[in-house]
Amino acid sequence: MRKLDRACSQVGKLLDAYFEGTLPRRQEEMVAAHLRDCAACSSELRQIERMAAALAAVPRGEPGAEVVRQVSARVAALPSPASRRWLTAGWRRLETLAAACVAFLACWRYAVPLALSGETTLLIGRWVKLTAVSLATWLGATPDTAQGWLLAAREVPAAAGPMASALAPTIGLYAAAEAGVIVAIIILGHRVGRAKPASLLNLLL
Amino acid sequence: MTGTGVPGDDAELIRLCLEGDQSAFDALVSRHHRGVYNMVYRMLGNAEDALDLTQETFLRAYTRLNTFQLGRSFVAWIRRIAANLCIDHIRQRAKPMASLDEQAAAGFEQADHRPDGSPSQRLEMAEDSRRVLEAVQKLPAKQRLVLVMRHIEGMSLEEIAAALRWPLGTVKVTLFRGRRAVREMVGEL
Repeated sequence: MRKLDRACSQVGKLLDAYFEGTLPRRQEEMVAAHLRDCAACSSELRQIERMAAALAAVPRGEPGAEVVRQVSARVAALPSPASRRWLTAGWRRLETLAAACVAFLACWRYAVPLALSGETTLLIGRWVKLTAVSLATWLGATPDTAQGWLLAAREVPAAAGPMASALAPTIGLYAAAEAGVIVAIIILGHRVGRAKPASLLNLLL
Repeated sequence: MTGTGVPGDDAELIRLCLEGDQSAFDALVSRHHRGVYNMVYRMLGNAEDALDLTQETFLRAYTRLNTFQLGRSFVAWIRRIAANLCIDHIRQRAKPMASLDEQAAAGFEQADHRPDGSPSQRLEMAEDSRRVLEAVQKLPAKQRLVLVMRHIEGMSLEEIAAALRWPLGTVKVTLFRGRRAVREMVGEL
């Protein structure tokens, strides 16, 4: 009796897979053999079959043609997917990779020298922010993940370094480069990461 | 899902739509809205929400049509969109399932669709369906989704895995757990 209980317990765990026909052949034969001798397990299998039959017999509904008309009217107000066709997933990723490179290079060229020159430690943090957001977006991160990166970036310690005045550009060049990078990131973050432009702007600034 | 259609035909309609022909998308909606509506209704148990989410599903599909990979199944793709919307909806606000009378008012027939069986057998099956459906509505969203897709929509495990982009093992585990929970709730049929 105890042996049968153990077999029932074992077969009971396999009944759903047996019903679906997804068991390996040896296990399927073992279950089939057990079911021939065990009324309790056979009854359990019948319950699964009846439950499946009951769900398969659930009546279907008719939503009506109004749904089609409403969808058609709302779709007419949207921009055609033809205008977005060129923006395939591959293009989007490539585009974001390019933005990440631009962000990195621009920040490296303009922000780092300024920061190292001791102008402001804020610039280091901003450089890390921009790079982090670019990379996170490229990797397909959600805005939440990007925000995590930014929080980490805020804790970057102030960088103390020697003057790099020979490399340091003017503040105007830096500002223009950063503005361009920010706009690029907002556009790409919105397109690829589906983040709201306002949220991205808030995060970046 | 009714109106599954021939994949090749769907691909042609999508291609036309991507070339700017909106009537091609209307044809896609006409072809698949019943299937989407039924799946969503069985997930939510509420006709009003099901109509809203059916519309939302197609609008989302339209705005992302340029990301659809021609050659893949549009039905699986649209089901995934609908499934994700349903899961989000269930998590945000759960409305009680409609009674059978409300379902009838929403256009769901009471009788069993199968032509075979005596009237008493059909009545018995209708009662079984009602009990099982009530139990299904109490399941967690993902278990409910997989049970609806497997047993009401008649999808194979592989089709569900492809539609939801879940590993096949996850589909099996979720389905088996859901079925076990329903059996425990319903008792003997």
